[in-house]
Amino acid sequence: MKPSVADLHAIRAAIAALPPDVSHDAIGASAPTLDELYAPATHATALDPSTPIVSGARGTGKSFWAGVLGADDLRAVAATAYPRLHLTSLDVQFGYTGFDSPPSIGRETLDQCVPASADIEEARVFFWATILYAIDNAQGKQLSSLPKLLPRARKLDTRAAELTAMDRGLQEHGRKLVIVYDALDTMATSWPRRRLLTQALLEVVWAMRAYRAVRVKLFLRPDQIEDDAVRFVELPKLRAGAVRLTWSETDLYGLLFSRIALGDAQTSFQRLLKWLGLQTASREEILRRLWSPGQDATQQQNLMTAMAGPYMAEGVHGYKKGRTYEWPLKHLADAFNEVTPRSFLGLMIAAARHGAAPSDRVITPAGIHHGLRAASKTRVDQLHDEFPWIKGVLAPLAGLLLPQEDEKVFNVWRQARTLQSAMTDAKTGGYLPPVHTAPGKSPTERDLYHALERIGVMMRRKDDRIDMPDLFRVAAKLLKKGGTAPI
Amino acid sequence: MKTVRFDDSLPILTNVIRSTLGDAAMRDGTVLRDAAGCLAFFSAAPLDEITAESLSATLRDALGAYARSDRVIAGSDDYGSAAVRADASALTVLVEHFPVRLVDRRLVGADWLHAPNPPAGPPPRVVFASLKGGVGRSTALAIVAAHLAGRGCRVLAVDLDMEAPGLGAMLLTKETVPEFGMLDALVENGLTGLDETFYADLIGASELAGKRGRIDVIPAFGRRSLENPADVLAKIARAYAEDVRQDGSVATLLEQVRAIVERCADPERYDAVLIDARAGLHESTASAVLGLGAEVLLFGLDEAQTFQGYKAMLAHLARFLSPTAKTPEWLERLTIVQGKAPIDAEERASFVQSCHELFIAAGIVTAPEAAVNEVVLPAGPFGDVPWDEELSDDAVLPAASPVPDPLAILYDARFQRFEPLGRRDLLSEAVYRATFGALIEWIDALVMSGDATSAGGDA
Repeated sequence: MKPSVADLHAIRAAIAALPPDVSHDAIGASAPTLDELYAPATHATALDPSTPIVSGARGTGKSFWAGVLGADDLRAVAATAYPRLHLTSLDVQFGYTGFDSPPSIGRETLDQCVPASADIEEARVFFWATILYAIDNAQGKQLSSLPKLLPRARKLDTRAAELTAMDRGLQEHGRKLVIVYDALDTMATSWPRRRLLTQALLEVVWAMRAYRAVRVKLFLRPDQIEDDAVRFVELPKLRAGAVRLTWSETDLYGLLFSRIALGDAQTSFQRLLKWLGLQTASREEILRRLWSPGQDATQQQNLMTAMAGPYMAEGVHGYKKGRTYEWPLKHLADAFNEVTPRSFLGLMIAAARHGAAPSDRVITPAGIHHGLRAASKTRVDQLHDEFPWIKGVLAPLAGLLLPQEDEKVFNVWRQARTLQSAMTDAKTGGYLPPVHTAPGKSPTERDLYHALERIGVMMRRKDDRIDMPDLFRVAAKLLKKGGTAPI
Repeated sequence: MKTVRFDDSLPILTNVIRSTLGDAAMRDGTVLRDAAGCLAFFSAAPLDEITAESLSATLRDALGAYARSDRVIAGSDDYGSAAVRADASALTVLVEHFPVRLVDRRLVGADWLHAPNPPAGPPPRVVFASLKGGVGRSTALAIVAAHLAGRGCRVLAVDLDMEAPGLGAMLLTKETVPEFGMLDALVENGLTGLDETFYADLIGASELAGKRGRIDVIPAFGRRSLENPADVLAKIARAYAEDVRQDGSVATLLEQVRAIVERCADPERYDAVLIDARAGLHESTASAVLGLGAEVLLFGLDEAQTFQGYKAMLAHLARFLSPTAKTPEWLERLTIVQGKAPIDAEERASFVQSCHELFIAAGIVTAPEAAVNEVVLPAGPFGDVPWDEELSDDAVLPAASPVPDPLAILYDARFQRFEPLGRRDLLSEAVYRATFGALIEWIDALVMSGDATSAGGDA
């Protein structure tokens, strides 16, 4: 039976009321919950205990998956989604999470163990200590404070013996211990220190490769592992083996549709699915990826066509304005061509709240257009959590014709004194400035561009000009303007 | 003194008139460019004898060879002036941003002076055009025809490329080629007229259709031309000639081609009409690009030659745009197709960007943002610039381009020197879709949009 107007309105209201996929921490009040668990097929390798390094931009689910691994109940559910990973035979402890409440390790503990003047050896010892700490915790031993573990971590032979014993013991019982590190960008607020700590941690990760049952797993941002100033001889091997958390178009629509399928408009949505000849969904089927509208692009397009119409405009030429299915993905992509679930859901939620509810569909092309605005803000707000300088750097680019020659772009920043403001603001705000240069060299606008390029906000076209994805162009225009300076 | 060249002539005349008679007189008057390229100005107001004489001398001096020899300036009440000013073919062209009314009298190229025709059909017509050969135009047409036929559609394929015909050889065999071709139709229509039997002998059925749908072909050359190759050149010379109708009026090539296509494109017989157009900036391309009311696919490669040629064509088309009116419908019917496109998505994106800039450079599309002469400063604290909720969606969201995004056909060596009747294996959908996917989606949307305009509307 054809879904009624009331059904369409119910689905619309349910999308409008979706939680906008809040940002997560691995532990604490913002830890992931069962309702939020959605398991794209491609994330399996990221969760695999034998993958030591998982990189992902802000909002791709690093802390989410770190939190799922760390919580026994969630890990058990995730095990049904990824049966081949044998997640139920894991013990998971946290190495570093940014939270200073034992047994969790945060920046205060780190600073206490690795003073500002410390060399890389001391940093390595700290990370070895986090491993011993996790082993003690996994064995249910009385926990001593981390600083007290440092002497034990410093002695190479006893440390190795301890690890080997643990490794053998676990193997005999068919179990594995995974030590998870998350929020690693919070370790330092200066570039030299961040690089020192990152390098020490990566060296420890490399040294741990021989243990089959004691595994470390790092969730970190791509710019942290791809930082050219971090270097040791084995780093290319670690980088090559790193897995990137990304969301494909079918993953994103799968997430949206499964949220609708399990939300307030469940019965209306089921009627829509049945009318289109599509499979209805249960939580179990969604989780185990047995619900085909969660995976199949053709079915997803049919569903989107029923919900929003096929094209972004009406009339005979409407099809040239793009498909409603593809338009959001195209405009939400960053310079790496990646879309985060939060900006995707943000667009759809804003679309469902835009204008009057139509009687022939759930959301309108005009709503989808409008949704880009919300998604754009969401994305920049998301980046702003990690790069507080982002808005100040984007704002002056609002009126600039893009793509553009380097000098034209740099000149805009020069006139707006953007670089100086960013460096000063980072100092007073106590956060990591956008650029770091060797002592004696002063940062330039080119460095600023490279900082944006590293985080996918700007890019260089094949013809060598600088460009910026739509997502960030919209954001630049949306930032409040105070005044103008002549060029 | 520097010799005046063609490109200099109109700006010189415009400047002389503006500085002597004033901007208003220039705007209201009309410039005539004769077949040789020489100019004369026809004022919308009467001119006294002294002004006319001194201006005439000034213009002759300034324009050199580009001044018309009989008269270079005329007042509104002078002999013949009213007729020139009322000429319906006058264009408004921009000369250094100043609008100038121009009557452009040409011996050849007259079809370029017609504004594009409104969309024709059903059935929808698609012109496959390119400036040069070897860009995969005919191959794409064959694939599209086979694809539509595979879906049970009925397709008419027309070869307008009379100087380098390819479609007939690609789609027809010695046994299936019809008696006549487009060439004969253009020669015969003026002299003997075309009757039903002639039309029936103009169309051959292609075996490419594979029994599910139908592909009918009007080749450039029919069986007779193939058997009498010596007469082909003589026929070509006559085919391009304007025909004089019985009532004394003249049918340009465009009008002749349109009449023939119109007659054959019966909506009860066909679901789509595909037209292969001659390469180059030629009269017969004009009739196809502008005059058939078709969707136009402009094939090109990512190279300077493509952009130069299309820039000339598009800059010419830009003359049919009024600076004040909204975007004309026909702009949405021009789609650039990148032939032999690289697999690398970033390189294809750069082609898309170049096409976008091409439309801007040709004056068809205005640049989305003006060049900046001031820098906007963020409001509020640097580390937390607030959002401006007052701005309208139009002010912040990317504006949809009035011209469609280019389509890409990927480079695929298997489709070089493509002989569809011999290589049926390449006609399996999974094989050609990998290469022609974007074009296939486009044609499906076009052909299906006719019978599915209500899609989504009844959801």
